[in-house]
Amino acid sequence: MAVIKIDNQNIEFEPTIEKTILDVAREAGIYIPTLCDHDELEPYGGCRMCLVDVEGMRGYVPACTTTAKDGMVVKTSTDELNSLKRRILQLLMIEHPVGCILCDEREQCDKFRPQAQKAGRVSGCYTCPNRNHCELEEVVNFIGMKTLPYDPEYRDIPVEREDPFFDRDYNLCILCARCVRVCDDVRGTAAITIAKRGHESRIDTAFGTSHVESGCWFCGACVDVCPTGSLSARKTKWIGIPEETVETTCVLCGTGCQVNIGVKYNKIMWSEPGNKDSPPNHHHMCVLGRFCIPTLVNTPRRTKNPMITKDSILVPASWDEAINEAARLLKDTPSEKIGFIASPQMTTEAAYLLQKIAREGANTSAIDFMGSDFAALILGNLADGHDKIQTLDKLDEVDWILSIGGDFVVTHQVVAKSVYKQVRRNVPLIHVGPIGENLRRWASYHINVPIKKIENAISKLAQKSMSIPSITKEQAERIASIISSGRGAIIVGSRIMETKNPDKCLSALLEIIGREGVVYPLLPLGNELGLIKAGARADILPGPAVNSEKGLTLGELRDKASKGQIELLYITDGSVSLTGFEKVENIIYQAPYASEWTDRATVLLPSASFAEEDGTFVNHEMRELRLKRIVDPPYHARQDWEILQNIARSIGLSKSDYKSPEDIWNELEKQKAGLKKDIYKRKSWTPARKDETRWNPKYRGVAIAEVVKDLKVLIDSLPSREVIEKRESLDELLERLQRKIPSKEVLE
Amino acid sequence: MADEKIELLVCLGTGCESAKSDVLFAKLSDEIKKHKLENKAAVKRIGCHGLCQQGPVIAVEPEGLFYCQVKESDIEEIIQSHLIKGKPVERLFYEHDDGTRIPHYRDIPFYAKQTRVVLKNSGHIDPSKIDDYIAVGGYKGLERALKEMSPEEVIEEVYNSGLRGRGGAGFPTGLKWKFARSSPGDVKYAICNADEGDPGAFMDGSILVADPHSVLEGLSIAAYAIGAREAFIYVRHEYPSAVASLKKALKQSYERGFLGENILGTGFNLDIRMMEGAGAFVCGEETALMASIEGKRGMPRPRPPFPTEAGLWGKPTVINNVKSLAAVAIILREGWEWFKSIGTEGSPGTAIFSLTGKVKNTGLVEVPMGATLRHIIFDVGGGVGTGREFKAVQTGGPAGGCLPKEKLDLPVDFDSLREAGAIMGSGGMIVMDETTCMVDVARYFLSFTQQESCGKCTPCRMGTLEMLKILDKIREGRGEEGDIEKLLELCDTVVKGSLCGLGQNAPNPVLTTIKYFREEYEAHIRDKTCPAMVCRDLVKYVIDPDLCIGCGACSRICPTGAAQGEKKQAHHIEQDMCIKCGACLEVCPPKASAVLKIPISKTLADIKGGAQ
Amino acid sequence: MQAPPTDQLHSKLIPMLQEIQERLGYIAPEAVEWLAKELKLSEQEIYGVATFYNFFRLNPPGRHEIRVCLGTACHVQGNEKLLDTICERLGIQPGETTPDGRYSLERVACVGACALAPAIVIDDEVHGRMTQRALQRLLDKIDREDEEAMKKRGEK
Repeated sequence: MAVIKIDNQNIEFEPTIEKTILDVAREAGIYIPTLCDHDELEPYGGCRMCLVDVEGMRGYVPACTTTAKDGMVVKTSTDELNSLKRRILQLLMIEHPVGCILCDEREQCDKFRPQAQKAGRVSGCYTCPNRNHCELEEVVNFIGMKTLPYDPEYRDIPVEREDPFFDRDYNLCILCARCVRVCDDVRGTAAITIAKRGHESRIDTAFGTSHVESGCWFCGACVDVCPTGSLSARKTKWIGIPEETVETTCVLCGTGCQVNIGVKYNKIMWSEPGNKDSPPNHHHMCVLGRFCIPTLVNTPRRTKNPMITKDSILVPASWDEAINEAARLLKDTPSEKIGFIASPQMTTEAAYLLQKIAREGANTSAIDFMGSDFAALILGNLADGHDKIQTLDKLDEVDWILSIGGDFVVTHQVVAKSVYKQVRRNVPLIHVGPIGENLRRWASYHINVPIKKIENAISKLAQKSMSIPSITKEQAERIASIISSGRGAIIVGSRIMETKNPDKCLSALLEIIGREGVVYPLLPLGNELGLIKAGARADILPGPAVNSEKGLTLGELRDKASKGQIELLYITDGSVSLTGFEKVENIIYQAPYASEWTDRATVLLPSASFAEEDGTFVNHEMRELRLKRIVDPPYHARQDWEILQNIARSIGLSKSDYKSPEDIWNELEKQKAGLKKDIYKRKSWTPARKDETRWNPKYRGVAIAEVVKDLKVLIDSLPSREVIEKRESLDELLERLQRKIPSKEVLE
Repeated sequence: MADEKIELLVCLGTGCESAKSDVLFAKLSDEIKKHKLENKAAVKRIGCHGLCQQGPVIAVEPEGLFYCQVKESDIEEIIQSHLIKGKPVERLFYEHDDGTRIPHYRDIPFYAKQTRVVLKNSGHIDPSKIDDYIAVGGYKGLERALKEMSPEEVIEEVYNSGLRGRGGAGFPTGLKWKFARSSPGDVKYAICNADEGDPGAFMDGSILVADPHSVLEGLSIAAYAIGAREAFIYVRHEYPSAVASLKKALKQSYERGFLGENILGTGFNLDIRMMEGAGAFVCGEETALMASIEGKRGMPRPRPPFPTEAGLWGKPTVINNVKSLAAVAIILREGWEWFKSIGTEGSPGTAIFSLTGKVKNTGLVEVPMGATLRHIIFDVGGGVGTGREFKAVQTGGPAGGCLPKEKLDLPVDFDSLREAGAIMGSGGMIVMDETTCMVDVARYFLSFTQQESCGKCTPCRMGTLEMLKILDKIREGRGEEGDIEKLLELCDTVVKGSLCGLGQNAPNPVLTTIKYFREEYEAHIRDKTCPAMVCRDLVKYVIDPDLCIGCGACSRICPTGAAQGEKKQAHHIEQDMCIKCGACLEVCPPKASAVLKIPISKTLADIKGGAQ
Repeated sequence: MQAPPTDQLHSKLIPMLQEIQERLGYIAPEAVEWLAKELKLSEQEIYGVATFYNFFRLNPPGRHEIRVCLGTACHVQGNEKLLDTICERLGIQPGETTPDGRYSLERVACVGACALAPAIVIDDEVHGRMTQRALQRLLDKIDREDEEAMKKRGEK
């Protein structure tokens, strides 16, 4: 233990090279103002607001970059220091609109706020996106800057609104570089930079292109770290602050990010990253979670009323009528003619009830869900060692990373962020398969083979072969030496399902990482592992455990349906293609969104979206995460588990009096678990169309990009981000360019 | 003596080269061949000889004769008279103030009053030939270090010599090395900072051109001492001849086994890589320089941690200036006691300046530390030379300050200059006479640092700009009472608040000019006049019709057509069109001297009336 | 022993930008794209570096490059006035290229020819001790040569 004296207070601390005066002060509850500092970013030392006086050191030193050492005597405020900071802040505020800070009327203003909110340009207090909470204002107030002795200078830069999701108003920028640092150093995207220098410095992209062109993933990390109103989410910048904020789980992929949902007027208006301490994402998100959720849940494409078919016409009905009709269909249809389709984006509890209705009520194991193959493959192969599946923070302990089966930067940005952290500490990353812009920069080695051929490349890697396609013998040697020692991690994406033998492929991978290694399966859809646990697959029972009875997989169900041998289909996932199911007579469609199934439904049961329901989500780390009912489902929609429980009761299932999802979970937990390696035997689902291999996330029947137009802009730009390896030499390039400009010698 | 071959050393330093000395070199070589004098005479290229003012210069060895301002047409005479007849060309010798000619450079006051230690080889050896360097004792220091001394002993030697960093801050070199050596880690780097960015300074560039091996030797010794196996030289891109010279020297060093594997058979390995800067003054700051080598924006980062703990790629790194490293080679060769005997107690060794501005002998000057400014400017430099009064001397580049007459007897060393408000800097010294406006000079330096600010920290980015605005106001005659105080307050903010040396020292020119020349600021603010008649908004050009002979020279040269008039008639200047470039004044025939520069508030009649 | 491979790679950025500028005269967007792939950097990182350093230009230069030294010695000797004259004559500001692409004008920090101040560099040749008259003559000469060359080409 060392002791440092800050403002006459003796503070004990554990000295390390990283521990700065600022860190020690914060731990002791001493406030030192900062602007450029951010706890996720490396110290920068630019804003000078944290200058302190350290006895024996020349001049003033920034607390954020100075290591705290035993015996230091620090003063955070002296008359001279306060005056200096005030003057520096005044210089900073020359170019930052100061109406909110210096206006004489600002106290009274709250009462008489004008409603001119949508002025495109921020000229002062009320039109600033940060008017409700501003870090800069906090610092100004603390330091006590009350006048501006210089002529203010409005930079008059047009607000950048051409890109999706967020606006950029650099008139408010104070060049703290947090956005650039988070984009470069934490997310590894480097879609923005500081361009030029000195007073002309500004945040920009290369040659001023749009963010879509510069490779931005719209993860929103820059928006979240900006201390001013320069960067603001377009949808929420003018609607003030939430009345209530609740942390819940995003179900739009298998990561299970914690997201803070903000509510105002009883509606979901904000989705912002969850708390810093909340795993797995620790205050980071992807474009879906950060910007798409409010639009997605508030879209008019929601299913609104329970409906039943009367005289071949679907008409609104009461819940009782709808439930009874569904129960009647279930009771009246012979077991072998009923099929169930669960959704990987429903809660584990709801999925459990659905399979219970199938197995105990309808007496069939004809139940499956889209994406179950990959989940079953993973869980089956790792059955005898679940500790192979680890949490993302365990990546900090690995010595190398092998990634395969898709570009996880596109599909799983939060996982990508965790991987990039390792890249920054020089952990070699070996990627097999097609590659995108970020991975091109991150990967130490890239085995550039089409997705169909990754199986071959992997088996060669496992054999430590020196002839591996697309790389030199030397590179192969180096890779072999990397992967044969230390602890490895494998990031495996669902596109390994596109190989001839995914089972073999995964076995080869497991052979490469050996006993110590860890696996990160990137589940593309959401709660796949939860659904496996719930037994929502023909060959798996709740637990999960092996089911020896014969059931029907999704593919088999479709085949049977196309022959007209299925009379009733209970489907909860509108994302499943209708093709093949046209001959099914009765369809119970239970979903929060209208889809192609709506018109075919015999009974329509409107359900809640994930932000409106309670339940459990199991993410790719096998972490059990809570979903919370933040607002009531809109119109007459109900939570999936409630609907299913009512049906269970109506068909007379025993033990169906659950008070809450917790009761269901407890029942599920009592099931005996036990999977075998060979549960993945029968392929249940293949993409209907080729282009479905492209990333186009869906949520229970709706392609998110159809509802969130800004997302479509990003998705449309993705093909241009794929890296084509073949390229010209520098000589060729320069020769080509020289032809374009008039040569110096033309005149001679 | 008669048998000894005559060597004609043609200076190819920047000054002489710009004056086409390369043509002289080519012509001399041709002529010697043509006249079959190869046995009698040889032509050699040398780096800066020192007295740039007289360029192009040719030194003739071994006699030590010195030809000044040689033109292409003089070559024939040199061949015929000097080489063939043995009669040196007297009219090309240096002309002393009293009109006499001085044949030997050692007798020219400019050289006679200097003490050349680091510059000893400059202008005497052919920098493109490693053997020339070895012949004068080169690489002896490295050999001694590698073969006879442990790294610790080398550090001790440098520490004992008292050598302080010649880059400007004056930190003891030996101590810096000690820190780097004791920092944990296997990988360490040594860097030579040759990013000489101060406007008005060209010492480092000259040494790299004239004596590159001395720098490589010093850098190798530094690397050995701290335990580095890789070293870098960061050279300013604007110095193509220094780059070329270094490239050649590096190649030769590798060929001769002074670099590479198993140097001098001692088992010591070292690679030196050269890296060119790309035009950013701030990269002279060591943390910015390292960022630049790493391929990043050259933005400084706060220290501590110092580069000796965490430098290039986070590894312990030593960064030394060109002159420090050249001195290191000498210290290892001659011993620390000898070095310490030169200069003062606190600042041993010599100081090297590039002496420019309003001074008779511009050039490269080396004097012992502790010599006075007067000695440098008047004894060596020969005084102002414009016939006007000395006004100020600026040292230390944009981070330095302007010292007035009263400070001429100040001894030049790290500490006394800093005390006076200026700094040693890397060694630019610019002399100013009464035609220099101190407000304009302060603004010039400030605009330089303002443009070179990296923009990372607020005080430097915004503070220098705000200062510049005030200085512009003053210069343009819009100054107000209180502006000086505002400036001083801003200076304080920028000095105390900035992140790196660039910002912390940027206000020095303003501070010193206010300290020593406050009345000039006041004249601009209160009387709206520029005493030196420099600030263009406070002066105007007029033509005295009584004196104008109507030659039309002014109207021909005037870029805007403001100077107007009929042939043979008195001309006049249309003030609205005039951009005050002063071209008319320059071309007006001396016999007429009709163009006058007068304060903006005055009329021609005022001036003439005043004269009567 | 050495820095990690990516660090080594990134340290090539400035030398490669220099090479491109020397061969092409400027840093074209296509060159930035090329470099990004070569050095495992994003285009933004390269753009940030290229715009930081004075030496790099992002637009094609004129056929004649005039660089006016604004080092201290040159300033004291009045180079700013010469710069004004050039601006006036060519109708451009420093950093610009004339519309006909013949001249580009730059202000540069010290070129190291302080003893010859004021100095102006035209097409890499240093012209020292410049005066208004010498400057006008120099520019006249270039104009004349260009004109003659143009004529010659026209005749062919």
